[in-house]
Amino acid sequence: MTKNQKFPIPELLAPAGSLEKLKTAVLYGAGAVYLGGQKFGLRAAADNFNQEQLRKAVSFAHAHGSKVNVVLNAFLHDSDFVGLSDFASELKMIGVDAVIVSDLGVIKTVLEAGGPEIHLSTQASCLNASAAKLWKSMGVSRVVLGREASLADAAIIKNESGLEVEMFVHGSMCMAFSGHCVISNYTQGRDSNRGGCAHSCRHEYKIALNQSEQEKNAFFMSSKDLEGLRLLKEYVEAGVDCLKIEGRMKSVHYAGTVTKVYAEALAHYQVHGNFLSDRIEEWANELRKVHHRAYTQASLVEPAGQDSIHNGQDGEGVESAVAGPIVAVTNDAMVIEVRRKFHDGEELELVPFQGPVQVFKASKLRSLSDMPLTETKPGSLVKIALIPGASEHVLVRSTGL
Amino acid sequence: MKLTYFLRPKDNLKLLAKKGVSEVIIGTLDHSRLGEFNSQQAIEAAKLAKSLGLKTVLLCDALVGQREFDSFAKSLSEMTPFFDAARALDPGVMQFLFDHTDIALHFVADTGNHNLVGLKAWEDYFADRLERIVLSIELSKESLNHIIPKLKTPCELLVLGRILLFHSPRALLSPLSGEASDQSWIDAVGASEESPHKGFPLVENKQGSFMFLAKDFCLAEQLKDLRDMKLDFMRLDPTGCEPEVALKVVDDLLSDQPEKAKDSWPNLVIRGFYGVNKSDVLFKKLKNPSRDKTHAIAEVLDTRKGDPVTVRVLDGAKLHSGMKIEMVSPDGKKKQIELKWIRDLNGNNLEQANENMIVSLPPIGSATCKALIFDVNNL
Repeated sequence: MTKNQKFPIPELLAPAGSLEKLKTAVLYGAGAVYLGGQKFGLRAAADNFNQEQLRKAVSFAHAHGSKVNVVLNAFLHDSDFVGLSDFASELKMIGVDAVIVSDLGVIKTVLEAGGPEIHLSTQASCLNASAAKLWKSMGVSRVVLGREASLADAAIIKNESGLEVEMFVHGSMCMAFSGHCVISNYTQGRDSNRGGCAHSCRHEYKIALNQSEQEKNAFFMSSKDLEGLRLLKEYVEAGVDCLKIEGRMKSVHYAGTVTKVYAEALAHYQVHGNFLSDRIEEWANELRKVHHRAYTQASLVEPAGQDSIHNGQDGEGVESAVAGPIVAVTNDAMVIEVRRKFHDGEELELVPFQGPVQVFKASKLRSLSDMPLTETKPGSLVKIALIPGASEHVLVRSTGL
Repeated sequence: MKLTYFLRPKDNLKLLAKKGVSEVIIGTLDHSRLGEFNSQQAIEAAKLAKSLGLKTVLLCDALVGQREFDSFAKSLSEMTPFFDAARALDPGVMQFLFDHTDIALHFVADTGNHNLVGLKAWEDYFADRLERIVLSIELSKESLNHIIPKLKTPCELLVLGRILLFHSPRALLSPLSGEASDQSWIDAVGASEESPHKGFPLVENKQGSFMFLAKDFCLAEQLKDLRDMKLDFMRLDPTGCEPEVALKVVDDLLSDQPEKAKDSWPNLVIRGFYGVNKSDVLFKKLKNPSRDKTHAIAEVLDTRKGDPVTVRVLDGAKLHSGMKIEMVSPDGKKKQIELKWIRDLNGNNLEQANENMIVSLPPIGSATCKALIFDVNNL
């Protein structure tokens, strides 16, 4: 909780799959970011941060008043411990604020190395106060609750354990108890709990129910995505200390847009003591503009039911309409890294770090060598006429979906 | 090495005792993931087992949410006096048993506990109340050899039975049957439509939904290894096996030729990761080696045929006019050039470009977006 305010708010923790995403999340209002190093995390396919990038990340985040948490949340085998102790010490030295850990062996190693404070990962499936108290005695200062926990559970766990409590507020969800799924291990030879999850739960399956002998095709293990926007009041009332946005592998557009929505909603609460903003529909609409599956409140209020199953193709949610982030601003133009084709004269939206989206028409579209263009192609850099509010890392997108 | 047996309501306890089973694990619908007894049946089974000289273990390996915790704990307290030991997976349940009962404890460390440092920490925490550690079948022979002798606590390992792949608290099968979930037991079989994998046994019960591997786990041929490691308990989970077949498997496992159990078992079996666990070696293939930025100094952002190439200077790097660079495209193609000039986005010539700057470089034939730039002198 951010203290010394009339209406204290939880910390907003955003994913940072790369330095670019980290900067975007911080600039759009993340109070903290989480990221992975080259080892010991759960996203082996991600770019992840090397030591130099970690230093840059901490320096940038701290300069903007944000914290940095590093994930060390793989379940390690004995042979995986090589370098962990030194890495934990180095993280402390760099100024990393916390590490997110699932494995008791890792907790012990980080403590012995004098590493940063320890947050228990959601992978450890901490679902009750009894478990939270045990983990507290093991040396953790915060628990990231399992996604099966409700907001009411969170309040009890926080009060009874005396630990800080972090909960997911937005993003993709494991259908299984996190840390208790090994489908990839046995079907792909990739340890899901050491970074190799193949997302087999998103596959379509043919199910033969024994008793009826009927076969049905279904994406029966695929969960809808979590959206907690309309439950922010309940998160605050439960005393949740930190709201976590899932998605280190997701786009810059996602990192910026989702962070902005929740940061602005929390900022509104900070001033007014409620979430009764005229902008609530606008914020909800913003969350529909990023790539997602259908949304659910999962188990935040009641245990997730049948309507929390996403019975469809992975990614069939609304497509992102991002034109691209601004990567530089020159004397008279903004340079956009094009993610989606747009044409000269097209109506675009500029998404400022704070405040409402600005609609404008792209004009003076040209290449970096100032050759006039009529339209862009994804993957290229182009210049368009500078408009007020443009700066590096600001997102520009199409108005239509 | 003693044999512990996961008991089902249809099993004959008297015959199991006669065959030489040392201990039975009794799971209830309310407290365990896959136990099939109701509480009263479980107590009756425990009483009978004890009268037959068998040791009894109450299985309470459910993961328990806060909202159910108090009632779960209360009913557990009512059960434990009838058993010799209780085993749990949820650290909160272990803590409850530790604080509020006197029963001997078994810690189910079969998920996410794959290293000696962590296992010893659990052992230290539960101290002399901990009677056994149930090890993970993801541990290789080498790991087991390393871990078992260094733990003070007796260890147990599954030697024959189903491999649990997935456990969700949500009811995932009842929606397909067109009926509301009434927490009854539903069995099914699944086949992936997007991979060659099929024959996954599926279960929905009061604790949620489960998926198992089509092939079962079997170390019947490795029992000598396990004895040499001084493993104390081998576990048989006869799920999917008729009672009379399970008795034959018990006979085999306790005989001089335990490998026969593999032939007696009704399903196909694998050794899983016992030989070696290389489930992390494929990770490097998840990344394109041509995209390894460790030593790169810049990344190509934009290029058009014949035009200057636009790059971003990477963290901690610099470009300077006159330096010799090598460009490596995402498909691995390489090209070296000398930087005759560097320009900023306003077209001004620069002697040097610092980290994070976006600058133009002379045209490079076959340049592609995302190509990486390296300093030839540092290759």
